[in-house]
Amino acid sequence: MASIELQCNGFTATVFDNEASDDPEVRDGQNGIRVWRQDDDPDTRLCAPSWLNLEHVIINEEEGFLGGKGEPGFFEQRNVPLTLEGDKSRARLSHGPLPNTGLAGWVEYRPGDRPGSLDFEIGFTPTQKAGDGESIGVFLPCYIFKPISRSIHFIGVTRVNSKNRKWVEYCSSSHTSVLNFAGEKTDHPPAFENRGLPKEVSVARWSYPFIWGRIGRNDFTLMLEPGDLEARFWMSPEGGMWLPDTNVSNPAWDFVVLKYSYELNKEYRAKGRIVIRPMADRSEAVDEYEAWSGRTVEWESPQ
Amino acid sequence: MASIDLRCNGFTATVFDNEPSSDPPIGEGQNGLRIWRPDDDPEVRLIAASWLNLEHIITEDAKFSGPRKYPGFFEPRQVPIRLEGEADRVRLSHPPLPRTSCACWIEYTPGDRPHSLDFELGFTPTRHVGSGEVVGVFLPCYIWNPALKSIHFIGGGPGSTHFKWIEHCSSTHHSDANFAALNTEHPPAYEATDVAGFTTIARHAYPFITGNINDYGYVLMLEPEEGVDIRFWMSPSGGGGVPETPFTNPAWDFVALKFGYELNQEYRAKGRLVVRPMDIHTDSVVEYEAWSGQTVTWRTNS
Repeated sequence: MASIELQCNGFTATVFDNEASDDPEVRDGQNGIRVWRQDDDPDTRLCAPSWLNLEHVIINEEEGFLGGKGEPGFFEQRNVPLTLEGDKSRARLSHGPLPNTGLAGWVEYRPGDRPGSLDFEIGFTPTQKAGDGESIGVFLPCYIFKPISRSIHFIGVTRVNSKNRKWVEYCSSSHTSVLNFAGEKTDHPPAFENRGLPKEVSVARWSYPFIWGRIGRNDFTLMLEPGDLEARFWMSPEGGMWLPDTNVSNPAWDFVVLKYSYELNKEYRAKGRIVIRPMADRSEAVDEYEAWSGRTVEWESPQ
Repeated sequence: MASIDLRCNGFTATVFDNEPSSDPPIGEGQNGLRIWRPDDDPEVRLIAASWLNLEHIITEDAKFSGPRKYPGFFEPRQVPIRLEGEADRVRLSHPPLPRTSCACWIEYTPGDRPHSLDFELGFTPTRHVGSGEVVGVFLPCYIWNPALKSIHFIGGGPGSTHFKWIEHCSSTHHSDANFAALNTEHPPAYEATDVAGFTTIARHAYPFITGNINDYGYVLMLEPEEGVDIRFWMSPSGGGGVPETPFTNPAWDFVALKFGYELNQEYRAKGRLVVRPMDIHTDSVVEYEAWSGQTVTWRTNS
């Protein structure tokens, strides 16, 4: 097992490869960040068991979100040796073309320039057509330990009221759900919108690619800059396993970056940031997103 | 407009008929509780428009999202409603409605524990409407601007061997997903539709939900009479927008349904609402057990 500690502004994040670890006690396959230890609150556990790990290769948009074990990309990165390299200011996980999907991928983590922030960048290179060959992408979860609420929140619109942006909250009642959140202006509507999803079950879209949630005294903000990739957010109420002592499960707050009509042997990239710190309210998550992205959040959608 | 103050243990609840009021400023049709004022925090606002109001008559299982063309949509809002009672009992009632012909009443009384309000409701179908297979009443609670809009309940999926705390918040108002009992003999209609191919919807093990209204915990518990099904439902925006903000007020709702009903027979359910500061995952269980006499267990019999 190999790990690298990243010294960040107000916390330490420790990145692991795919081997099991004793401290923290995490099984093999859970690569990525297993420890996020805040300088002023070192005993509070946040990861359950890992964040921003290379988890699935999505080659069939809808089945990929359901996490079908029969899908070739299901847990594919968990099952191969990963290369971990770097130092206290940069950690990089990478793998060569995978045995089932042929996708090569990497994720690189660095301290962010604001308190409580960690930056990351993702790259993936398809080397063969997989599935129907129309889209390919990577799925990265954050398994959250015992949050106050398992919901994710984002600024978005509904199809009934697509002009006025609102804060949208979502928590699925079960793990088994393909419902995920695409951008309001996407050229690639989620497959479930075209597959006879009853109109009575309408699903919102995000207006800006960031989500916010509550973990105890801390707030969690995950933001993306997907470039020419599609970003989708997803959540599971129990992806991070069940806590038998409390009868509550740990949710997974996930995202996928997808490339439609991909070219072989071309690398596709996205970057992102996580911010963990106490916030007075979620307007501070908007401030963090604006500071990082350089964009201004507008509450009315241009039509 | 008529209203009656109910003097309860630790708070005052004010029940209104269907006429508009200026204090609080609420539009017509929002019968039921428009005020829940804790004695030690009288300025806090908890109710967006109304709670436990007679809202819809449900004549089709699958139409919880309330299409306006359905005969029972907002039907109890649109008739004069009779308000009677005093400081320790208030009753709202209406005779058979013009479209669904269902007669209903709800009675509110102070609960015997701090911060609790008891209620009982009854409905009497006087003719068959829709498919004629089911009739019921839909009662919402419109919550004022909670930071977290989810409802929580103890449940699982069919076949679960261990119950868990389930949390649910729909991303839009337009969702028919609702929560039936694990042991119901009448599975929700959506379980037999395409919805099942996209998402699995949990079931409740005990007929109560809980949630956070900022510094307050909220528990809504029910005990239907034999043969009446309870479903819970929520909308993230049913209570309208919070003015000048990008937030919406959720509705935390329930439906009491009777499948295979008989005409001119009254069906009943009783319930309790508790609103006080609490840890919702522990204190709600204490409140439910105290009221229902049941013991919450986490392992199923299957």
